Amino acid sequence: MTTSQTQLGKTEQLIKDVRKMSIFHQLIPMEAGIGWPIPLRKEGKVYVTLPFYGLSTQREQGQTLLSPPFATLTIDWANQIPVEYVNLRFRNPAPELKWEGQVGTFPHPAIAQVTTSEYLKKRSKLFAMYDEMLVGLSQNSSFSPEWDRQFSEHLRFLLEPSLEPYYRVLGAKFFQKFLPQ
Amino acid sequence: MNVSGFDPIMDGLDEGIGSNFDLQAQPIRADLDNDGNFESIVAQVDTDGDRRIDSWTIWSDRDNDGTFESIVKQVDTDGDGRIDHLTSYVDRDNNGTYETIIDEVDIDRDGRIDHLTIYEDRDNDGRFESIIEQVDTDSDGQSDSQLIDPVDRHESSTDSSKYWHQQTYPDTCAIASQEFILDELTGQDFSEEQLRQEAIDNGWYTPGGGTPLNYMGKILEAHGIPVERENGCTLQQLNDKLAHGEKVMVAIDSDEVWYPDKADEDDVLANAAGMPGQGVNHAVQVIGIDNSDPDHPMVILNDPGSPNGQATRVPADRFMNAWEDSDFYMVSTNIARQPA
Repeated sequence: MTTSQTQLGKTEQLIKDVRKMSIFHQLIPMEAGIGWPIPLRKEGKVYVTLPFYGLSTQREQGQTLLSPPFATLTIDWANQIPVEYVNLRFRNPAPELKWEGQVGTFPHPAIAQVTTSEYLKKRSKLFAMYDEMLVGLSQNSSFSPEWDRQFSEHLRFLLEPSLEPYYRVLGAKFFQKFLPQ
Repeated sequence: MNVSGFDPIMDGLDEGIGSNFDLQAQPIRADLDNDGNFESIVAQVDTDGDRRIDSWTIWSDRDNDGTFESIVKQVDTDGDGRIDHLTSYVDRDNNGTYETIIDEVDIDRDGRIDHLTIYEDRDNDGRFESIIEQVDTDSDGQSDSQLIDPVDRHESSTDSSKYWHQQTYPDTCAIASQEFILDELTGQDFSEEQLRQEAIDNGWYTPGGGTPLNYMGKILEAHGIPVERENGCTLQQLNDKLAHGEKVMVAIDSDEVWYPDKADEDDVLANAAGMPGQGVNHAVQVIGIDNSDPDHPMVILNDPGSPNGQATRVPADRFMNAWEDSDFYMVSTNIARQPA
């Protein structure tokens, strides 16, 4: 465990804590990568959907392989209780996409020359913006265009391009707003 | 450290040297226990050419049955006139096989044995079921560390390691780790492919994903091997499991084991490994803990994810950091391998 033990924001802490949830131990492979959260507001309540995708480090090649998401877990933002698990192999949301096998590698070119510490800082920054967004959603407040632009910029920079088609399927409205095609 | 069991041999030799023979290079017959029978053959060698004998090998046939029940080799490695390394081979049951080997070393040359290792092959199958290692690190004459390994360190390095192979798929670490254990405990040769299919059929493994923590061990259970799953384990608990001959798997963050020198956060991602911030991602079998250097204990892994993963040795502190990411999750068999 080499990451600093500083106080994490709520979203970043959730990403860490989800691995300790019994539902994760029961249903999500330990090797899974935890994807960028997809916010959702339903009947006045705020949730985040976490996609889980294949992530495997190949020691020989020094590569990290990415495979498509295979499950999602939706969590009540207020109390951090899971409310829905979806097995994407069972309930395939887009049969036209390739859902098995390798689809890419990490890091993608845009971040390949970023240092690990810089990546972790940018990741924390994006999670902090998620916190602001989720608080805003729960309070029904809106964000300035400048805030939206900054969020989009961070998300565009960090999101793995090879997984983007899957994110667009799993959170169509969210990604269309922040990563318009 | 109490080495009284072997002091008589050393004492006997001293007396023998003084009373029954002169130092010489040719083997001689000796009566080391002074009972009137010349039951031993002693070979003396001046290994460093300083015209002083510094190595003695003693073959003893105390019951005069024509076979040697013990061979003792004593060496004065630094030429100070004192024996500082003694190795004994003992055939307790007189069957012609030396089932016990005792190795004693006076590391700090203070005249006291401070490192004692006893290897035991009780069933004469050519493999040591037990290794007891005692170290007197502070030279106070008392053993202050002990490692008892019935299947742990030694068998791990010799026996358990032979079931290792590199995993075939990027995400079958838990399946391969179970295969190592299954092969060893059952004596059958299971294939990773066969077990992978079994795991897919039962929903324990997601191709392109891997194995959930709770399903580590499901394959073993399906083949009649009971397992225990625990969180928050310690290295001592792990060591105890191994000492009882149980087989152990753990979940770790492989990046912390494979790339300790790449933990430099100033390195660019293109040269780094894994995806920062993700955590636990790998299952390995722990086959032993080597405490022979108490300041630098090593954990011995059968790591299916690495081409050099067979009995690979990892510093204990690095292992603990990698293990912490799974909240020290351990799956152990409730049974040990039966003696051959």
